[in-house]
Amino acid sequence: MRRYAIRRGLTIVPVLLGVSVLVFSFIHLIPGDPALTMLGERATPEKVAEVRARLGLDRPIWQQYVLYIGNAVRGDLGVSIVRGDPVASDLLRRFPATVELAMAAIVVAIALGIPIGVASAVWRNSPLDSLARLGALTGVSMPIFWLGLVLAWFFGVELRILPTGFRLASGTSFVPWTNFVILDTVLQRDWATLADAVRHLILPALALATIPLAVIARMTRASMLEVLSREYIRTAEAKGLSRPAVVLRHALRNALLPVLTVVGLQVGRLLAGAILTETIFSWPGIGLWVYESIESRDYAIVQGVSLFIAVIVVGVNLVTDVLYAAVDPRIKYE
Amino acid sequence: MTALDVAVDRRAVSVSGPGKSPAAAAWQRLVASPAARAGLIMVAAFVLVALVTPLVHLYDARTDANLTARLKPPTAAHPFGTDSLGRDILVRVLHATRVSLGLAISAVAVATVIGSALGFLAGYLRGRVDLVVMFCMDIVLAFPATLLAIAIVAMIGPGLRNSLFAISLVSIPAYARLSRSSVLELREQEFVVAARGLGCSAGRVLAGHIVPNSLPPLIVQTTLSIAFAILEAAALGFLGLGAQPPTPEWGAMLADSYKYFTSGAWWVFCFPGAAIMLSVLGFNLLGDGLRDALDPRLGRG
Repeated sequence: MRRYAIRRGLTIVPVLLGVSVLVFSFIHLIPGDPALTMLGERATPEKVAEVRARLGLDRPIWQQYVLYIGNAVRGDLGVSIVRGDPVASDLLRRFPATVELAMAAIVVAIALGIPIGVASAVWRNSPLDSLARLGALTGVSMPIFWLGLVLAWFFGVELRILPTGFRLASGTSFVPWTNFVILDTVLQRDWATLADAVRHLILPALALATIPLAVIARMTRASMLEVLSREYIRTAEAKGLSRPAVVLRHALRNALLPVLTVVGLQVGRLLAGAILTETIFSWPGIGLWVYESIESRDYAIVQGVSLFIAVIVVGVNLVTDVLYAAVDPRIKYE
Repeated sequence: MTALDVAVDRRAVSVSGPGKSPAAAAWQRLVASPAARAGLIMVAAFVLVALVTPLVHLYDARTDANLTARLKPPTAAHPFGTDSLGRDILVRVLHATRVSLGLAISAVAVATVIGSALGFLAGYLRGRVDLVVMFCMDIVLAFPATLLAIAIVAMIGPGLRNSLFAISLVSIPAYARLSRSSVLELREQEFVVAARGLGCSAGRVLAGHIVPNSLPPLIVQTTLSIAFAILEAAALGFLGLGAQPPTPEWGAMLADSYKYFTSGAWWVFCFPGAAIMLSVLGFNLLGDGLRDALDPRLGRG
């Protein structure tokens, strides 16, 4: 087991190197002079030369890459062209908002997706199953930014019961400690602000949860159907165990393993989906930041966030694989 | 009855019975499923709209504006209402079908050809080629597809052609993996070994034996990829990276209109978004149906 974990861990090294090469090359995908494109047509030649030098664009390409990867490993993701701030520190300041949103979404997706998938498998081919399957397929077909708009319009504008943007009502006096607003308000015992934060979280989390919810429901259903046809389920039923005991204790526990892998795979989707969801709900995380940076041609931020997310995805996949091997003793890796 | 009649009778039975061609059998299984039928009808409807709209209605997005009828709710004259420039939303949704579907289908066509060619070569040649190709695919797969597409278009610049490039690039790994695994499975099968033993060249074994036998999963993947590509194209359009105004495209129409939701103008974003969702749902239903129809060994999930 430990040998498998180490070997699997080593496989990510070349992948991470490849990822860094790809993200590094982004800047060279820009047609023409990247420095000129970033600064706009009216920039002075001196300013353009200065930015070129700062980006290292005046050096041979291999030196540029060595410089880039060396800085990235030390946590330096470059500097925002527009504001002049270091990308890495802004990234860490904004990331908690995205994590909060993504965690809320995955909690919703798991809490609804697994029961729906189980019910769908247990009452296979019933009207409930058909409805759940059509719902899940509609979910994976959903443009989430559109769903976000519809939710914001319906609950925020027509019914006026939920806020449609930002993390807190304007004018709230709140001192962030960790920038996880939910956590901070609990630590500060500021229940009124906590309630406000949760109200702001509901709509974006629902929009972002849609696709993972549908994927988890489909995977749970397929996995449960497979497990329910196994012999040990028939044995458990023959022993006279009640239906809930068979379904929940014998079937679900074994069916959850593939679901765990699927949840791991959703992390990347959630972070990419955050770009769209945060844009709709003015949610001040890294997704909205990417959207604003694209508009202002602040490429260092697009590069930094891309690298950051890819590293997270590779890491989560590694952890999922190792967990899978650790949880299921039937699987032997050699 | 003569012996000949019996023989003819038997053949007649076998034509309509279990001995019919695999494609015909798959088609019958496909249309037998209500969900697949619904998907087929939805896809056919969208494709029809994309093909017919430009023939029956001339549209010039550059001159289309009527500032006296801005943000009007649906009426008989404008069944989907009008947008912030007073443009008829129904007309734009219909014309956008060609742009959105065209972008998705061309991106998937490019990805299918490149991705499966890479996969077939990697699986057949194995060794170093396999290692390099699959390593490149792993790198692309390390990024969430939507993020990579957005980042690439953000760098190379907005527009339909650049969106096509980015969407096909992020769709390639699925095809490479799929066709590679088909080759690895098929190349050990007896009929392929026999073909090689008879002296067929690598190209002939691939083109004549391996490719035709790995088509079913590729067809399913293509259908599902189009669904995904429509979503990607819409996301790029929504972020201002895809079709540029005033070109009608579903995602770009949402980008135009989303600021107006606070004023309660629901029709400006409801209809383009519904078009995205329904077309994606159609391709997904069809893809799931094809998966069941083309591989009778799989249970009806």
